[in-house]
Amino acid sequence: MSHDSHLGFIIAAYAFGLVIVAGMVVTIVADYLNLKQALASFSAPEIRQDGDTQGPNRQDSIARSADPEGLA
Amino acid sequence: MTSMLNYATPTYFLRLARILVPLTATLTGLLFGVGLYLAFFVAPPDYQQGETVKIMYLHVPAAWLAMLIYLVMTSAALGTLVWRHPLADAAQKAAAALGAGFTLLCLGTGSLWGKPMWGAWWVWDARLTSVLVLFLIYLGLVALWRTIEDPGKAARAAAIFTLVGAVNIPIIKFSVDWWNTLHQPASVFRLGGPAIAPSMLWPLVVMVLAFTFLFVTLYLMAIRNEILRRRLRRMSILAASAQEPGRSQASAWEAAYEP
Repeated sequence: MSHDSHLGFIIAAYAFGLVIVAGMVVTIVADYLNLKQALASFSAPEIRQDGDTQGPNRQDSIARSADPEGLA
Repeated sequence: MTSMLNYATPTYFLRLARILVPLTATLTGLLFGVGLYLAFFVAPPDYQQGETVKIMYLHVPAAWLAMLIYLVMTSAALGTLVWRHPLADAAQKAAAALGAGFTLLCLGTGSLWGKPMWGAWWVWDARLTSVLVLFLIYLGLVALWRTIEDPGKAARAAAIFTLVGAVNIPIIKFSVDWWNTLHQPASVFRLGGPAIAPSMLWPLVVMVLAFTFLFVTLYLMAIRNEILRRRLRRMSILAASAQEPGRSQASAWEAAYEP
């Protein structure tokens, strides 16, 4: 393969692939770490780590919401 | 279907992702190891293209994912519009950026393969142009999610855009049959079976599997991020509302759950 006249194109293609894949992995992992850090800052007693709360009208609010998991 | 939807809750998903991500990541690594070994040390050079055919082991899996991810997004868009399931919104949003990444990889490697084989980096033939349109659709969807602040409105707008854009998928697939293109016709996914020699086909199959598991791993992680982002948003609204003087905790809850 080392004598192939198109070796540069093959190396460039795999280097490009590595950059794209590594970019996606790094972006997603960095995003996850940032989100975890930001969520950890909301450690008030009434708000638990999983985003659930101990509010007085919790069941009413959840029942009214079309998004009971609080995703939206 | 109803029982499946019952399991598709964000809490259940986060638990599932915690178990699945290490497994799929390990499998991805193993498949890439085997696939790259087969591609570089076992698969023979092509009788016409020589070693340049090695680019195929990157280009074809990327092209496969570019279309597969759009089909996944189309299913998620139906989940948003028909069942109004909140996890479908997250699944749709998480897929768009990954789709753009793999489509860019497909276009880039295609260009690097085209120059030595065709003598041109780019030609405006039907296959290349329709894949470029797919890339622009992915970018449009990413922009749409970032432009509309309300996640519910953004999800519905993106779902409609996704369904309209789905017409491009059969155009990409059949463009090489419907029009005269410089791009070769299908040689793997075709009615008469693969037209490629087994010594090249098996490394390609392993690489396609490796890329598919890479996508599954990144997709699970990206959906998990979306769930956490929405929880962060909700908690930020709750905290901001609670700090307003004269506002009760109950009204803060209502503000956080505003559609």
